Amino acid sequence: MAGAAVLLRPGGGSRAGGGVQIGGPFALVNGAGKTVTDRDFRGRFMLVYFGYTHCPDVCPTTLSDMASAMDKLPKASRARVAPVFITVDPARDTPALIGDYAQAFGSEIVGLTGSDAAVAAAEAAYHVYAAKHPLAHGDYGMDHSSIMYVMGPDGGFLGVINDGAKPAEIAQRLLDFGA
Amino acid sequence: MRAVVGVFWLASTALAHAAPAVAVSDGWARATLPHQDGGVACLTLRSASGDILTGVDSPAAGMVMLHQTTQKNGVSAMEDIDSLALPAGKAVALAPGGTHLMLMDMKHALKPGDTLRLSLHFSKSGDLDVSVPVLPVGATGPQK
Repeated sequence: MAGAAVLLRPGGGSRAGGGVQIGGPFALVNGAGKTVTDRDFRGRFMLVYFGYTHCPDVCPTTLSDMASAMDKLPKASRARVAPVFITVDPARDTPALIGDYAQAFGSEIVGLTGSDAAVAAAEAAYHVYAAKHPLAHGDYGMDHSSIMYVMGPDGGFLGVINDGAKPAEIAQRLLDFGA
Repeated sequence: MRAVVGVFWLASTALAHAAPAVAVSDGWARATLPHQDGGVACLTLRSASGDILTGVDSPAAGMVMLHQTTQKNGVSAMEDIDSLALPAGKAVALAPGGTHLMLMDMKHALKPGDTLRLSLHFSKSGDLDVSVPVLPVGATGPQK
């Protein structure tokens, strides 16, 4: 993770003077088939995680931890946080599937997908690595960056939370960021 | 007396060639959505004398594969593995963060409260049928 720490500069990426900009505009589709953009989340903190539904392991665990973290937040803070799950596998993750899947973990979690180009643009904005990994019998997995991004109410990047963080830590980090 | 001793000797060598059954514990499967492509099952295996898991079948899936999750430099990935060695006396857990069973070509969704039947194939001890509970999609481990 040392490499990632060097890359990411909290405090908003739009500052002149270097530092990699994390986050940015995206235009994706939610479970109801409606377009959702980054602007729809202005005024709230975003807890963003990229993954896919065919992921057996780290994605369900992280989504479960995100949902548990939301449960731990005081009501007012909870209302200020939008957990977002963006697929890296738009070929299999249809709007209905990603929407239902995210909600199965916690009612607030918004699952987003889109065209290959729209998803690629979101991945690029967050500097998410995602690549198809062929498996036997025509199956494939997606190798992907596995980390949570915290974006502020102004849309600016605040920091990251490791995917292994327990719900209590996730909740505390969100509160520390001002949720 | 000699004849009886002879019979016991034959019986004990026959038993020595059959490896003891693998002990299975902490099994569970994650619930799936109807339109979801794959399912996952986890369990812990322990062979007293050592064995190798060479394959798995399930009536709920067209195919069950052995996968290993890796995490390196912040990137999560999944690999096929052909078999899983069970060193003698050691509990080997297929669990989140490590290896798991991937169910493909699901015949039906797995609902919380269902039971998933698995047929485990071992090189030394042969076939073993087990049933594991289906837990909610947000479950992180077996129910104790």
